[in-house]
Amino acid sequence: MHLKSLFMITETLELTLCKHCSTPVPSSRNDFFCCAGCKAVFELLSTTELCDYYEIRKRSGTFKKPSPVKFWSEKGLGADPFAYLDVPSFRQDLGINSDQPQASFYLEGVHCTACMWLIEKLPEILPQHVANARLNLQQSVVKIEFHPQGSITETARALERMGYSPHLIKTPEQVQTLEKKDTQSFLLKLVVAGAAAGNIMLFAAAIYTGAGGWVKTYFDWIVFVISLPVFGYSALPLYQNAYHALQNRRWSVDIPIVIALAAGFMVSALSVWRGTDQNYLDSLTGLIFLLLATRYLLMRLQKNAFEGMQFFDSLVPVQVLNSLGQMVWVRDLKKQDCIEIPAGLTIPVDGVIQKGTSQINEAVLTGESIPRIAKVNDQVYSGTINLESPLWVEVQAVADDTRMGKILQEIQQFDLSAAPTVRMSEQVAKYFTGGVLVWSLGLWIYLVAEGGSVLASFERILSVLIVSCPCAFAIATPLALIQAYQILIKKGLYLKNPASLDSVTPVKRVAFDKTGTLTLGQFEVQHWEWSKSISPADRRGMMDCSCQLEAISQHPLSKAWRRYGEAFLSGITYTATRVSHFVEVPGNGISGIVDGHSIELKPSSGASELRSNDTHSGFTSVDFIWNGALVAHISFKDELRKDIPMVIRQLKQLGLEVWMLSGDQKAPCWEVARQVGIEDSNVLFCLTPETKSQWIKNHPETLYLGDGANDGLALKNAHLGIAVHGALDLSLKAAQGYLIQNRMAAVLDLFTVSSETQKVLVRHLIFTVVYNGATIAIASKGMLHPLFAAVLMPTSSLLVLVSTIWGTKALRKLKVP
Amino acid sequence: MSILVLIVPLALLLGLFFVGAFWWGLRRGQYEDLESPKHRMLLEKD
Repeated sequence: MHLKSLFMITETLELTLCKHCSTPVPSSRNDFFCCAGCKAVFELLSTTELCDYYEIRKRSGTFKKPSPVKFWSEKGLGADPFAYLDVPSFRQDLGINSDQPQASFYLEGVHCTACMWLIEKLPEILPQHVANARLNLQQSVVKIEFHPQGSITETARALERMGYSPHLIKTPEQVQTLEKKDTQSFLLKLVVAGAAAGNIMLFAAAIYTGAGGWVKTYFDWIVFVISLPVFGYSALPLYQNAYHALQNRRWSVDIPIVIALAAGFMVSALSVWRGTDQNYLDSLTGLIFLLLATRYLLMRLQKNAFEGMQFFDSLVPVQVLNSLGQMVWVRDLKKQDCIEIPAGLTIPVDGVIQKGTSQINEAVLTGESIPRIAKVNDQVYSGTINLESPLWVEVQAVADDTRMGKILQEIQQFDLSAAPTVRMSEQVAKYFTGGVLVWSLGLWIYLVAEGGSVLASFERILSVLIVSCPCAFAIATPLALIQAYQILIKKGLYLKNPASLDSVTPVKRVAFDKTGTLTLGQFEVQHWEWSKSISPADRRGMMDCSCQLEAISQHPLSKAWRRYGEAFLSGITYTATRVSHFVEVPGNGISGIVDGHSIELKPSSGASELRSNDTHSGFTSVDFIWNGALVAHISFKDELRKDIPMVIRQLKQLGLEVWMLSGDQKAPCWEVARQVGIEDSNVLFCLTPETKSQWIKNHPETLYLGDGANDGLALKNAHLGIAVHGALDLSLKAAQGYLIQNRMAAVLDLFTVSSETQKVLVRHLIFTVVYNGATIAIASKGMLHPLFAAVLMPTSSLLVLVSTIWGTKALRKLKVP
Repeated sequence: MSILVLIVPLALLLGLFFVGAFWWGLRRGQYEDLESPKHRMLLEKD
């Protein structure tokens, strides 16, 4: 009933929108869903009476259009990527408690309140496995508590069926708890500092307004006592930073701050003891609070959902059959072991084929969209997928020693050694504070030499130190970056570290991967040309028979053929029941007998009479031979991402070179390049991951966009690497950013936001230099009491804050949804 | 003015109470997810 009533509404519309994700349905599909994934999710929801989801989604203010659902199986990552989650030794490794099992998943495709509602219904959908599920909407991380006998595997499968690809977060429980403790204790330090500073201000006000006698002594001591937890507890991170900097012989802004704090505290303590007027604890605690607040903002930024992504599932299966027919752990395999790799499995090792012939999808390594034929004695690589028939493989390398493992390792090493971008503001703050420190010391010595008292001169010095603190700038920079970062998330681009924004300015060229980046990575029938002698009635029958045959093959082109056929014949699903004498010759098509007709479907010879013109030469094409006669010529294409031509045109207008780097053959590359508007001279084809990465290294000012694992190295080595929507885990790990929506125009926003944010930062730099220069001059002349200094300093922070939020005209425009 | 001797420690205790209250909330994880609860509230039907 549900299904029907929903369908009625849209029948009046001309353009069919997918019931699940609202993407326009390709007219060739003749369905209410844009893809099998979305349909499956919808059916699951209606059978489990969870169709409220669509109602809630409609009402939800935060509704964003979800993307079409793509299952693991379609991503070609092997038959069952979740089975190992229930293996006892794996659960032990992860430290999953057997009495109260818990696990967290990062979910792809969480987009609004309705998703949260649906995911938290897990205990109702899987009452035998799940006890409780809580989703953190901001991080897209769901924390699941299982029943003692509950299956993690089943839960992961259910999540996938609901349309959220789950990625287990493999950080052990203890590490997660430790991280949580760290954040909590920092927050407590901040709050203690804030509370103390606030209270101290009140008592200080009384002293400044002329409290005398015992009241002054009383208040002085109270201020002193309240300030103790601030100096002894809250300021610990500042001491630690300064200490580490000294230990590593680096300079840090914290060094002069700690010197000012220590000297200030000692002078103040002495003054409290002796009852004199040099109590500066009010200014100093306020300073500590503001500094901690800035650090906390930065910390919050760095802890984002991407952290969870570092612990993504491995790409390959963990168990496999050996030659004796036993299930063995892949990590226990040794050289020269022989294992069986059934069709559809991701190959877990590097090795040589001993027996069997098959087609192998090596897109993960080479980006080549058409499978390679592999025979006895051919080399196979870990991470590639065996598509057709079982293979027996002699193991040569496992895990880290495989080609894929080495690529992964290289990426991880980079992660450790890659120095964080030294931001302009830090540089300025560094020299600025260093200069101020030298200046103050010099001034103090001068004043004392001129005959001033050590303590009275200290007041001047402290004013200089406080007022010169480039706090405004230190706050403004992270704030400007946070703002830019948030605008970009709204526009669909997720940066791992907002500091990457700085890397945008020097970018001179943008390079795209082809399959999966410029295109969607899914084959579609582009052109179906029947021979003129075939009548439309015959065509139906022929199409029907060919789909019978194609139903047996798992080749990507066969799948595209079948999708097209099913749409053409309005919605029949094929199971190969009428086929006999089926033969699949890897790389040379399939043949067989259906209902007494002999059918051959094989790659175009190129001399076919149906190829009347050259317009389709850039596509992979197949001949359809019916009882020995050519009846149709079919060309396939990989669909382009919608907004790509516009994005490339605008990138060129920005004065950037646009390149295409692909592992694919020349003809399809040129065809795609022509469609998106990249010159032939800027197209590089037949590249391996290594040569791609080498090209990137040779062209240092490149923004690279890619998706496959074969792009991992290039993404990592690129000046700025961005993984596109739907990318593999591996490239996500390597990239600095990720497109969360299927919207390439976010790349253009990146350039705008980056240059506008630079403008804001320069504005603040000028302001800080002028403001601090003026106040330091006044303080040095002794015309500024430390209290005024303590007021002036936050005032400049406030001004800069307002200026950041105000931003620039272009930024304000982007903020409007 | 001697009332200060009583009032001031009381005021400080009040401040301390709020720091304590914050610490309690922090320990119970109330600051871990600031986004989801406001949505969850609207979805609960019971």
